Amino acid sequence: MKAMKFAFFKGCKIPYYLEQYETSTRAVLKPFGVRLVDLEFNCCGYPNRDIHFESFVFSAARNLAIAEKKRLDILTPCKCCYGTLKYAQHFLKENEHLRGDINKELAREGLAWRGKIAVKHILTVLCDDIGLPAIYASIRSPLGNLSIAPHYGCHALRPSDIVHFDDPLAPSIFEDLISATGAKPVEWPRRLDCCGNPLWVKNRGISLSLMRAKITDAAESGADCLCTACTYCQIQFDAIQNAEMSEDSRITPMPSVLYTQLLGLSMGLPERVLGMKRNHIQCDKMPRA
Amino acid sequence: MTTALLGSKFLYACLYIALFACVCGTIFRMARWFFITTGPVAGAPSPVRRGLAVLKGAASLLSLKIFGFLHALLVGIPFQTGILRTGFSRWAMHICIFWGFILLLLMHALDELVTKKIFSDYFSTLDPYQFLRNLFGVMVLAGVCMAVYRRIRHRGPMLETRRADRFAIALLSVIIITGFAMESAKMISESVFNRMMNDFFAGESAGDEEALKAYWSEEYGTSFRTRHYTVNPTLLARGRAVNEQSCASCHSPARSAFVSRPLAKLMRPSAARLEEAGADNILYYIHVLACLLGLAMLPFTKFFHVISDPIAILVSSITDKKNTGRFAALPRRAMELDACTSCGTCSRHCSVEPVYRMMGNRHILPMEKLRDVRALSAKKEVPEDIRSISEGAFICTSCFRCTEVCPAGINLQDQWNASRELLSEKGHPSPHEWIKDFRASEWSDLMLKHESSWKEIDTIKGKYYNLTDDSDVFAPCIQCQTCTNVCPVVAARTDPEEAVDITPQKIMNLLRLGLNNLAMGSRMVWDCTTCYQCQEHCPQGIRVTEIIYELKNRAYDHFKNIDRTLRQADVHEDGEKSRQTEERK
Ligand code: SF4
Ligand code: SF4
Ligand code: SF4
Ligand code: SF4
Repeated sequence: MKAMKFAFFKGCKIPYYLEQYETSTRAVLKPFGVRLVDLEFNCCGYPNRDIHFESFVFSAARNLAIAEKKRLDILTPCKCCYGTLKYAQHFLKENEHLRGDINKELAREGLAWRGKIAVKHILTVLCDDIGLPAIYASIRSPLGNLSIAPHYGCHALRPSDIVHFDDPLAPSIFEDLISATGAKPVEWPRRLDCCGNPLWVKNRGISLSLMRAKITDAAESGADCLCTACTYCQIQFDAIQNAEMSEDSRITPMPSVLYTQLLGLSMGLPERVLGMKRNHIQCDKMPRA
Repeated sequence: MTTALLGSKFLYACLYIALFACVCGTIFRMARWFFITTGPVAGAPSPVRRGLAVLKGAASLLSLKIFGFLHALLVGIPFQTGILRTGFSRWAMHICIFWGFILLLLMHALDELVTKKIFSDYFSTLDPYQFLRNLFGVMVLAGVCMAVYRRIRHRGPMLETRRADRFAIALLSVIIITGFAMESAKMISESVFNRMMNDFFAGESAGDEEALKAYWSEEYGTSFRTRHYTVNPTLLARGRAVNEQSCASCHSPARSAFVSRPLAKLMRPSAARLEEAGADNILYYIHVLACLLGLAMLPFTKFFHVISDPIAILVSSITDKKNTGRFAALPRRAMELDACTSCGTCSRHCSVEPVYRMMGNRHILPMEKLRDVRALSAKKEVPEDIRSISEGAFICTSCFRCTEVCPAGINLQDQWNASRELLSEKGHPSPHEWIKDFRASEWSDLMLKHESSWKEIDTIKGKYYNLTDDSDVFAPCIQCQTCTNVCPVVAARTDPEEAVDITPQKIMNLLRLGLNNLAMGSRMVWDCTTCYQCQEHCPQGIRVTEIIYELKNRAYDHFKNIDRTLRQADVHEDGEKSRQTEERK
């Protein structure tokens, strides 16, 4: 397999709120010869899109330009970062006036956006660049017995004409990847819905009720555990669920793991890199790393 | 200590005054750490509680944390690894000033107390001390030059030079330059030479004095007004012999004073005038007084960071960045406000620095944010630009990067959390909060009423996109309600008041009716989770989510100005105040 090299776009939250996502991502990619390069990126731009369009596009464009300067495609494990970078790319491609102004500002530090690099989410890299056969071949201890509910995450999937991640109405990439680990992907009606995290600091009530609907649905569909591949979804289902819903008698806690943790577990990687114990809600049926 | 220390009763008295000022000032500044409240005021603990919490924190040194502490103490602070991480040139600059000055202080300024005690053969005009004094002086001066260069080269919002910086740079320069000049002035001074002669020289045979003068004039640059000799090799050889015998035990060759000696050469043509003016004495006074001024003002100038920064670094070596104790965090934050040197490192690495560049609000940058924290904690009255401060405070991804890079070890993340709480408490919360002050219809009315406050901004709207005003974008809507049906937020609304609010499909309808103003403040727009379900499912391909984003952007721009106008009215027109508060309710 040819060596793959990506600029690793962690996003703002991983280093301090979800370290296990970084370590597990690095660990599962390493055996496949994927090299992750660390560059000093800034915020992807998502958090500011609510109030100021240009600063969202410029933030994203600067990241893209930094990677472009190094001629590296971007790999991000976060779906909000992924979506945001893709949206910005789309606006920059589509709108010449915007592109001109953004490039003018970028030029002040010797950067430029030319649209020469690709932005990829880790699931795509695993499924398409590395390929399912290689993933299957890497499994050491298949996770039989586990029913896993894949949570797709909004910003990777939609709007499909911009992100081109998978079929927006009937995606299958996540199920395919979960099957590879030996676990059983669960069919659940709300798998494509929002986790609620974008509203966490803006409207707690709605944020929690979106999450509650998903958790209930996953449990009713027979899932042992949720599986995410996004920083924010995981924070929502793990840390926030744990902090906010432990008092809620209507809900039995639904654990959530990162896909990289799940894959790492089936590849026989150690706890040290997977950080399962860092997750707030533990899944009893999950084998120990 | 005797008056010999400074050679003058006046300076000696000044030393005591300066020391006294320094100690009192330092105590005062440190005591303030326990009284200043950053963060929410309600329920702020008493100074005693804070003090106890600090003691408890210090007790944690009796654990494995001691290793981190020792590392900071023995490596981090002396080698300034925090600064090294931010860049080599800055580190080189700082290390030159830091070590240059400390060594001058210990070896030269405190020679009676330190150097003499360690090296019994110490004599200021002997090597290696003479050489080292020049070397350390050059280090400080080189550091100061680098600092000036950096401040000119990189000037801008990331490295602003303020009065405090100028004062520090100027004072350091004065101290070092007068030090060198004084040494040079002494070298060329005839009267200094004569004084030494009288005190220490007992010529054995006639002509020794002449020979010595000739030798000193050549070697040390001493300038004699009247010469009774002609310089020739024999005389010089004799002079060297006399020097060897009488002076060399206390005077190393002048060339080791590699700055003062060339400087002395330069000064020699005006030696007579300098002599007459008593230059060496004047320079000595300036030199010492400048040092004492620095000492006295240490607690109230940038120099205070020589005390506060090591403390901040040590504290950060034994505390958890994420879990700051509730009580101990207060004095720590207050202390950290004194530890910031405005170096700008945090701003340069800030994750939202690009946002600052687009929005132009300086309060977005962490260095400025910290100044705002200081302003908010010190003043009772609300700063003029509180709205910009609040905007900046809430534009932050809590990424910890500023905390990570700050060479002073300041836990900026904790400062931000606290200041956002304080701002919310003061009635300046995040946009998503203050927008809830009014309902959609009220915002719409306010927009009409305060047209002037946003009309101007509106002229630049649609610079790049104009989804909300361009009927081509939304006219194809057939009001099929698909967007509303797939919207998870519509489904999740429980509050009956929210439930009757506007839906995505109604937003499209409002746009078609030209009632954009009514959509802007709606709950739907501000509670949208940006899940793109509506946009994905719309059979007409309408970019529903992007329209909602644009509505939010414009609403923010307009409401921000209206809100500012209202609040100014709140402050300035007392008579109207109650009415405004009414309106706000
Ligand atoms: S907070 Fe730290 S990094 Fe920022 S300006 Fe102050 S000392 Fe420098
Ligand atoms: S925590 Fe906030 S202020 Fe600090 S670097 Fe990140 S975005 Fe900037
Ligand atoms: S789904 Fe599209 S066409 Fe239907 S109401 Fe919504 S915006 Fe209009
Ligand atoms: S993007 Fe917003 S309006 Fe559209 S469906 Fe999602 S929450 Fe509803």
